[in-house]
Amino acid sequence: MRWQRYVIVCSELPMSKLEHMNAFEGATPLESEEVLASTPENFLARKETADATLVLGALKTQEAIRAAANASPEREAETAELMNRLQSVIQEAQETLKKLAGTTALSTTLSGLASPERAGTEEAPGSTITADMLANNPQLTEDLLEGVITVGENSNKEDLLHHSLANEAKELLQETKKEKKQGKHKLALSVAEKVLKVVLDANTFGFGGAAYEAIKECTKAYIDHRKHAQPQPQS
Amino acid sequence: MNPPNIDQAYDEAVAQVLSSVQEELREITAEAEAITAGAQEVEEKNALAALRDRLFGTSHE
Repeated sequence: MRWQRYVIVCSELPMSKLEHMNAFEGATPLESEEVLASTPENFLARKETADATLVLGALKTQEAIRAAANASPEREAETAELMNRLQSVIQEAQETLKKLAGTTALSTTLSGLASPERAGTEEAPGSTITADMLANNPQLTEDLLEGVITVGENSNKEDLLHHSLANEAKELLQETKKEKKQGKHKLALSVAEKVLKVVLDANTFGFGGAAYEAIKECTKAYIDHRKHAQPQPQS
Repeated sequence: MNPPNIDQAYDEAVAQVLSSVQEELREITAEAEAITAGAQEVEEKNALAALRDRLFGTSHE
């Protein structure tokens, strides 16, 4: 039944929040705090609020479409089209929010990394990042990889180094997602080590500084694409 | 020049995306509600016609 598919799609929307919470389950408080020390403390809450706002809006609209479908079964084609539009809006927005969060996480993490002479001092105690930290924080690791992909892809097309780093991040993201699907709360250290190398390379290539532009471009791309995706009024 | 504040950029970007989403969701909801309202109107007209038939239909014939 066509409706069932739609209901399942929308009922899956709040999962990002649950996945996020699960991702931190296996981490010790100290390790989580250390990694997150470089990010604004309310960033995660703002990220979750954005996701929740999206899901809430989607559920209300879904309810209106279901009511229309029940009231007017003979107009199934129209209500199915509305549901397709809803699905497309939400999926695209979720992807964009993910990119924005990843880019912000990357930028704040990189800006929190101290210069070698300051790292580990009292002045900058949490300013190092290790493979262990990444292994214990799969969600943050995914965010950082998303950030590398977004900034790398937003770079000048001729910048092969940036694009190659983005491709490496994509492959690693697949690996981390595979591990998450297997129910692991911690990433394999070998994967986390590769992620760490990508993050440090991103720092060397100036991805932190390029993140601001990437955020603006990513938002513009979303808004432009949605404008074109909207059905044109019939004459 | 001050360095760009990434935190603020994130908040503004999210607000823009969500505002665009809400606008589209409002349009979709309005179309769905129009379908529901149309169906209710037809239903009311049919009910009224049925009532009219019951009250006057046979006596008029």
